[in-house]
Amino acid sequence: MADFDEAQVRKLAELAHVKLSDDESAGFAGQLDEILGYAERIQAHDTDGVVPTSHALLEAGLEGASALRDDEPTGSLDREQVLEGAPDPGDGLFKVPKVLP
Amino acid sequence: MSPPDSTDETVWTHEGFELVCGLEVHVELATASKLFSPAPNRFGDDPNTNIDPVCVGLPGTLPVLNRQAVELAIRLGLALDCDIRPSVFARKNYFYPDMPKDFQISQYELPICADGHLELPSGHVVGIERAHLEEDTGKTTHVGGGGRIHDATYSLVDYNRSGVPLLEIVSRPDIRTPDQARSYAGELRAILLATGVSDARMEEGSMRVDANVSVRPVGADELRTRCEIKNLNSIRSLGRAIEYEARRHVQLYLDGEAPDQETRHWDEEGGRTHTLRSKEEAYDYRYFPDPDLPPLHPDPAWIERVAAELPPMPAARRHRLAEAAGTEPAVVALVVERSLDELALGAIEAGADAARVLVHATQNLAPDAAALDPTAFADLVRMETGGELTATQAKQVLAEMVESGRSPSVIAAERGFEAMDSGDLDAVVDGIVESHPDEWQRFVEGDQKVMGFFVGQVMKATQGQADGKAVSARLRELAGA
Repeated sequence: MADFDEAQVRKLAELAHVKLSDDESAGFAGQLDEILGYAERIQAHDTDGVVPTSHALLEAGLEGASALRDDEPTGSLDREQVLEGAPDPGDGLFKVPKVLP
Repeated sequence: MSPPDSTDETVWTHEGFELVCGLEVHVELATASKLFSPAPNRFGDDPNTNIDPVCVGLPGTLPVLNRQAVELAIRLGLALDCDIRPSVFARKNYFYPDMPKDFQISQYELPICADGHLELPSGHVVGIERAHLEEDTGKTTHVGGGGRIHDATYSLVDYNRSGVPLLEIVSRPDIRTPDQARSYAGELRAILLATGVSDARMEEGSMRVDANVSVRPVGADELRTRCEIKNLNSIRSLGRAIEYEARRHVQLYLDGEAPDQETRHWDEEGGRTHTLRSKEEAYDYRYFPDPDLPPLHPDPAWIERVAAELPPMPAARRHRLAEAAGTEPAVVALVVERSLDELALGAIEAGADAARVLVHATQNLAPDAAALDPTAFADLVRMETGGELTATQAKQVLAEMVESGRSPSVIAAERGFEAMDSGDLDAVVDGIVESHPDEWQRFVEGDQKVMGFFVGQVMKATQGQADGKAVSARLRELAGA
């Protein structure tokens, strides 16, 4: 079994800036443990000689080169319009709370 | 500050420790649009006027890779003799307002370029571990508290730079002196400019150099704890910061302590480094392959085409000229740096004396002389080595050749630069000697300093037409030396 415990859930939650209650942490630990256990079962299979399926687009024959864009610039979004969606626009810039506490 | 123990140009040492340094260089690629979206990639515009839904991280947007950014990455990779490999874009997850979607797209485990090298003008070779594509972040300005991040009251963000294509070039820890670090940065910059990959302006941030610095006992082959130095705004501060940091590590070891692995900030005014981030902060970027971007498999024909279009690199040009001139690559570094190597090669191939060609190319010609006709340059050098022109006259004729494009013989004739008959010259020298009996006495008694006086007098009398070497020879002959 994968053995995913509550401490790992709490660490992940902290890294992802997500607040979890103790109950939620316990619940997710059990669920994540099951998911990882499933992944482990898949990993246990012998895949020698199986063509890698690293990305769905590659399987569709869309190799990297065909998924590229020409280097042609468009105009910009309208600044004032974009700043309307910002909580605190200031003089053409996005004003954000101080970065380090 | 005591000087380092060794001024050996190959390894910096101090108090029994030696420097080990690698550089990480971020360069902004000279594309017209951003790495994953079509907003303009342009420096210096008003804040937030080069933005699109992708680079400000609006929900539902998807990245599409810029072909030209890939081409420029391939170009630089080939210029650094890297292997161009299939690569994968990953998400580097962190929270910071300069990255509105809360992850940076970067190549992590599988970079596009790997395993190359860069040869410095001195001949020292620095390995290139990898060069990978990633997107730049927005620009944050901290307001209040004197602009320092720790004391700021709020920050302002400009997303014009968000999504600009970057190539991060990571060297191996093969840099052993502050000078080599400077030379590496300078050489890399020259290559970026020659290949058109980046405008590589350190002052505008389109080339940013971070240094990984550690020290170890002289002769050891271990790698000790390193610190990453950021905020190096010039090639000069790069050298200063490395030397400061290496001394700091040596002192810690001498005091029985050890440096912490951390990122440090170079303070140009104070001439020191200090901790940039608090140690308690968690670093776990939880990289994983970006599901929105397929792996990048550049077609071999594409790579071949880019290789065929690549101009010769400075190291190859130094070797070629050095071989033609029968000297070492380091000797011709300045000629190549000024792009005068084609001219010098042409003149040498046209039969001109290689040593004189290199002297003119190093001392008497500016980069704008590259358009000079190599055969005319060779003619000039032949007139000089054949005794028709003195070194001083040759320099003057050369300057006018660059300006007017006329042939050296026409310019020399017009200026009356004709070789003085040796009998005429001897007569002038004899006259000068006769009219300065005191100085002559000193010369005869062995005071070599008076030689310059006599040569100067002869030059004055002949309006610079005399050959300095012939004058000295005649003076020695008269003195019976």
